[in-house]
Amino acid sequence: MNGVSKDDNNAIFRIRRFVFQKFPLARKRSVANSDNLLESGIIDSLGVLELVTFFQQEFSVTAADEDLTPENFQNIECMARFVERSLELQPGSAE
Amino acid sequence: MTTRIREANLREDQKVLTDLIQTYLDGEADNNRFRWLYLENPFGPARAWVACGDHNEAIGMAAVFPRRMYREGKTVTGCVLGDLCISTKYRSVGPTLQLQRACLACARSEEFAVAYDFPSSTMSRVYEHLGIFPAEKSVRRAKVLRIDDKIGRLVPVPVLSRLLAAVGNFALAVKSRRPSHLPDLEVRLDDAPCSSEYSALAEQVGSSWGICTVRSAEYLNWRYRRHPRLKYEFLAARRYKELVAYCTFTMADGNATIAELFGSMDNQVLTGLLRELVGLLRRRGVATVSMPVLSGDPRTGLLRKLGFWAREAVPVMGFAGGSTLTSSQMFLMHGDRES
Repeated sequence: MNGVSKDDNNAIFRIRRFVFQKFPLARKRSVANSDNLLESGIIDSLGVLELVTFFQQEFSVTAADEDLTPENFQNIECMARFVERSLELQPGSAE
Repeated sequence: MTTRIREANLREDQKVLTDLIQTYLDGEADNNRFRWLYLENPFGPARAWVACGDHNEAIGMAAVFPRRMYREGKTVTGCVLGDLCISTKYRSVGPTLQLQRACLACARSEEFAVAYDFPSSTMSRVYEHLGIFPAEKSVRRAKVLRIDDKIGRLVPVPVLSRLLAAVGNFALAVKSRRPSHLPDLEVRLDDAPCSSEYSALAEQVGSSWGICTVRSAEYLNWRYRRHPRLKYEFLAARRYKELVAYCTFTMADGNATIAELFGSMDNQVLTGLLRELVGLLRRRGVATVSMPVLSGDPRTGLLRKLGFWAREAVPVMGFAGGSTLTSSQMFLMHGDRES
């Protein structure tokens, strides 16, 4: 099991930190982990691509086109769950 | 949420496609535009793809539009990508990427020897995500013809502002009034539909470029004369009654845009043609004239000399099958865009 799987908050913390660094509106509005970032316009399609690159670099998670849905990217909790699920599906992750 | 991509049937899906474009891309895009752009293109009908949501509802679309092109002197079928739009509810990029992949699979297939695109900044990022990088950039070059608006904004006193503008406009006009040094060049507006002389010029000049749209009379009449919304005009330069170059332009909100500057590369011909255009536009009260050209266009130096200064640039994508084209191979102008 990897570090992210042990502690979901770890993924949440790292994603939250990235969102606050990259999207100034999120910082300005002090968004909560469950706040919808797509509907509020804090993250747009380009922002999603930034997150995809971040997931790849930070968690070695590759998102397929089909994964880039509002369900996976609407808020920080959803993003963390998506990262967690993807890591579990990676070869060698099953205990 | 799942997204399914299907190829559109242009007849059966006309309303679906028009509604999507109208809602998410261009509020003024109507059935006339659709017929003109998708069905009446002399190089063949467009191909379009629709993205469907969970309940099979149309949530986005993208299209490719055929072009006949010269490639190393041979005539080939090419295409330009365009009209990609997606519902605001689905802007989490997934459907956009799926649509763009469908378009690119077609554009880079054997069906098209050459494909190109003028993507928005968002779409450039999407291309980048797909591992595709710009082949070139298109730089808008603009020349100021009148400064009334600019002075009006800077000087709030109307009398003073009018006086300063008159002096400025006079100075700009004098600067452009130098003779073209080519007395046998006849430049005039062509009101009639483009005839075979335009096709002859396209063959003579276009085929000498690496990659260039076949600017035949048939194409020009469709692309410009029958454009459903914009009025394009042709200013033609002839020597001894033979067409040597022309400039296609349109005007909106007091500004003009040159969509084509095509033909002879002789500096004196181009200078004569552009000076006539500038004079004509100035008499019409136009404030600025813009001409987007590729950064590698060999006429850039002349344009600068004539007062067309570089403004913003947009990326240009170019493909030939699996490979990316380079700037030296392409001749693309504003009119090469899809609509």
